Amino acid sequence: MTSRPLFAAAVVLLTAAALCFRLPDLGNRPFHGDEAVHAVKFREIWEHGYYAYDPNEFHGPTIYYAALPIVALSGHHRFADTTESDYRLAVALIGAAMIPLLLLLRRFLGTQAVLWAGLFTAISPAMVFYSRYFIQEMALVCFTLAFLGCAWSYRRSRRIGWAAGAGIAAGLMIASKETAVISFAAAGAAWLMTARKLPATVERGVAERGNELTSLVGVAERGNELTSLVGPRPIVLPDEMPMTGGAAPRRRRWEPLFVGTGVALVVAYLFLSGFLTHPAGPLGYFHTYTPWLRRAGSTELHRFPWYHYLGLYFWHHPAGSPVWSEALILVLAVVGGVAAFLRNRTGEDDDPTFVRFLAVYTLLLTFIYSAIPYKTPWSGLSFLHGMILLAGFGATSIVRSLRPVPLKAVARLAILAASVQLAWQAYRASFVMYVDQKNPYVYAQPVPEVVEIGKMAEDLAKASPQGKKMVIKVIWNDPYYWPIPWYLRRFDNVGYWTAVPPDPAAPLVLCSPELDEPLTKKLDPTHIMTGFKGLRPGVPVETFVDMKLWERYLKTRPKPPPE
Amino acid sequence: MSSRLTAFTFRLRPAKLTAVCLLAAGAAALTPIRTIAQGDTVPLPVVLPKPAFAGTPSNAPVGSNVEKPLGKPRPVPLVPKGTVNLALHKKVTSSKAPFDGSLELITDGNKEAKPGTAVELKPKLQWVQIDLGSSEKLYYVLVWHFHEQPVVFHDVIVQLSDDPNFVDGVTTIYNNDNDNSSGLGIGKDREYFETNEGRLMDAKGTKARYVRLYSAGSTHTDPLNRYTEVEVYGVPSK
Repeated sequence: MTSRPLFAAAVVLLTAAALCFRLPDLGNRPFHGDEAVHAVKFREIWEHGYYAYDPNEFHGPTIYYAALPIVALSGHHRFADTTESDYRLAVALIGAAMIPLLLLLRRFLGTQAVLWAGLFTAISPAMVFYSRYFIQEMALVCFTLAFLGCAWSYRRSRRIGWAAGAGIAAGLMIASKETAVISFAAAGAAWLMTARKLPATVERGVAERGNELTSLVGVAERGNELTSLVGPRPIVLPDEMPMTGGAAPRRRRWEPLFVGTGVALVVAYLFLSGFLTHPAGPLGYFHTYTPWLRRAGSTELHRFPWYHYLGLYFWHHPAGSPVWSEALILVLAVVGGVAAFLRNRTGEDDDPTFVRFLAVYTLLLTFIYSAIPYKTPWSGLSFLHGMILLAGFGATSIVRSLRPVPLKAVARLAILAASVQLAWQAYRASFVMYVDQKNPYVYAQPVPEVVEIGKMAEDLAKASPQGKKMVIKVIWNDPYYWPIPWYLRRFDNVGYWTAVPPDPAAPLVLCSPELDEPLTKKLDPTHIMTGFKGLRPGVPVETFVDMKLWERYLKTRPKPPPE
Repeated sequence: MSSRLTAFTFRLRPAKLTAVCLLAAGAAALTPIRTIAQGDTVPLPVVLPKPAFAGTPSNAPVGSNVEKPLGKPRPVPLVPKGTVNLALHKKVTSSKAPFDGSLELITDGNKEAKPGTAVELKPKLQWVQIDLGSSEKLYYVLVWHFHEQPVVFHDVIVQLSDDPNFVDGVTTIYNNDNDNSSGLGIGKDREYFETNEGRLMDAKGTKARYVRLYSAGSTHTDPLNRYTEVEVYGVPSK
């Protein structure tokens, strides 16, 4: 498939498919605690135009800024009126944007491989699920894709614009999540191992044009035929290229790095400083790794064995649940990685060096993320996306390895057919079992009944003389009471404690069951414990209501029909 | 004046504290001896059935206000000497005819969690009523709804009266209907998991002939109301 209109149509179709999985019913799942935290952080920007980077928690602000225009266009004027869908839409669009962004890799991965990768990105259950999640992971993966595409485009074209583009993407990665450093490390190591040497063509272009390399751009623009020029000639390191410009080449050697790094730092600084609303904020990034490293190595929370991600993504079969597996992507990725190393020239429109780079990069990311004891199911998306790109190349390699044209068609149909189960799993994960603990992507997910907390508070407020100004006290035994603040966002007077305060009484008191005894002692004369509400599986919320308010509230309730 | 008082209080505090502590310790140590020695109270003569399941449930059902299981045997209260189960083999009536089993099961003395030991009543709010035969001073009511599993019964309300229709002179000794869905008033008592210990309710010496127990289904797989045994403790006047 080399026809440009056909290729463009395929990309549009795949993007539409990605949107079909990402956009519908974005509010079907209650806000995860992390999503609620991010929504509350967004509120500072939305209402006060202020953002302060916190090196201990919350990661970077890119998704907050991505949500700004969407929330503005939603027509909501107050934070209290915003809904889960408003925020998730920003991430859903970022997730879908990864399909057209794959165009950056067309000249290196190959046209067909890009389309296969686009298909897998569109329907990967993990990619779909976390594209409907207001956390930073999908933004990090998306910007990493842009970074790799721009950086490799610079490597091939030597156009400084690509270096700047890579810088923008890198800046956005940094401003999205601190784990960007893992992607940089893996990419740097993979580059050293596989791609440090330039193709001979580039070397020839450098020699002939005095390090301008513009001839290569011409080649690229003529039809993506770079790899056809790759030959068995000895390869010359960029640093060792014969230069004609005297002292200038020594300066130019650092030019792209300087431009890319400079742009990255500026972009990262702008975001992390809240566009200069908190200029010193980004300084926190220098010691952000202290708490995160401590968390990564020592905390029992989120601690899992090295094979956790592999089991989660590629073979998850809890009792009473169908099998969850993205093994198709893993198998095709292995095929793609092996093919990249077995053959010097992989296809007509791809770059074997890039695929080898990609294979090593993905492998390193997988090792690093597996080695870190601290694991959350979304953190593995970075290497899963690397596998998706490789799987695209693997699918192409299988098709190309078959000589008769009918066999190629059969192979394509077989891979397409095998992909249907991925789409089915994506549907099942995001639209059927979206809060089910058997779903491997569901993690510390609040139960659907969590919305009842907000509903109960609203109902009580109607019976309270204070209305929405009614005081609510949330008293918990630790800071993990989220997403309660999100569901109480329409109230003006909500306080939070992590120990029983001297005066815990309020019209509505929500508490963790661990504090039942001391709170019952203090509240029993004036309050009634009206029942448990659900927060997370196995984590209920106790609701104490002032007796007078409770009596008023019960009087306002519609009476049940007589038997 | 106030500073002198403060100083005075401060000077005497250690001595006062010691005296109070000694008195409290002595009283605590002597109280059971005194009551037993005087011979007017004895531990409630309850014989518990065998437990049907091990451990205590950890997850509170959403919507309930179930209390946290004690995690240890319930303390046995002291009652006047001569206290017996007045409900044994007494007549039982109910709001509707039983769905399965007979009402006699409630006072037959068999409280084991075995098939055929519990009577089943229809769903929604139902009551059973025990006629003690005469008005007696009652100290405790002990009820086992269904302790084969750690289920939670809803709207458990226990009332005492000398009026068989429970119109006049009604005393409510237990009510965990916190939203008044049964229409008998808001109850502040907590729901609880059924265990072999049953639920002990303090009748506080109320004089009554009839005991009425309400419930409105449970967290069991079906919406039925169940009673395995009810014991009513008091000292017979005759």
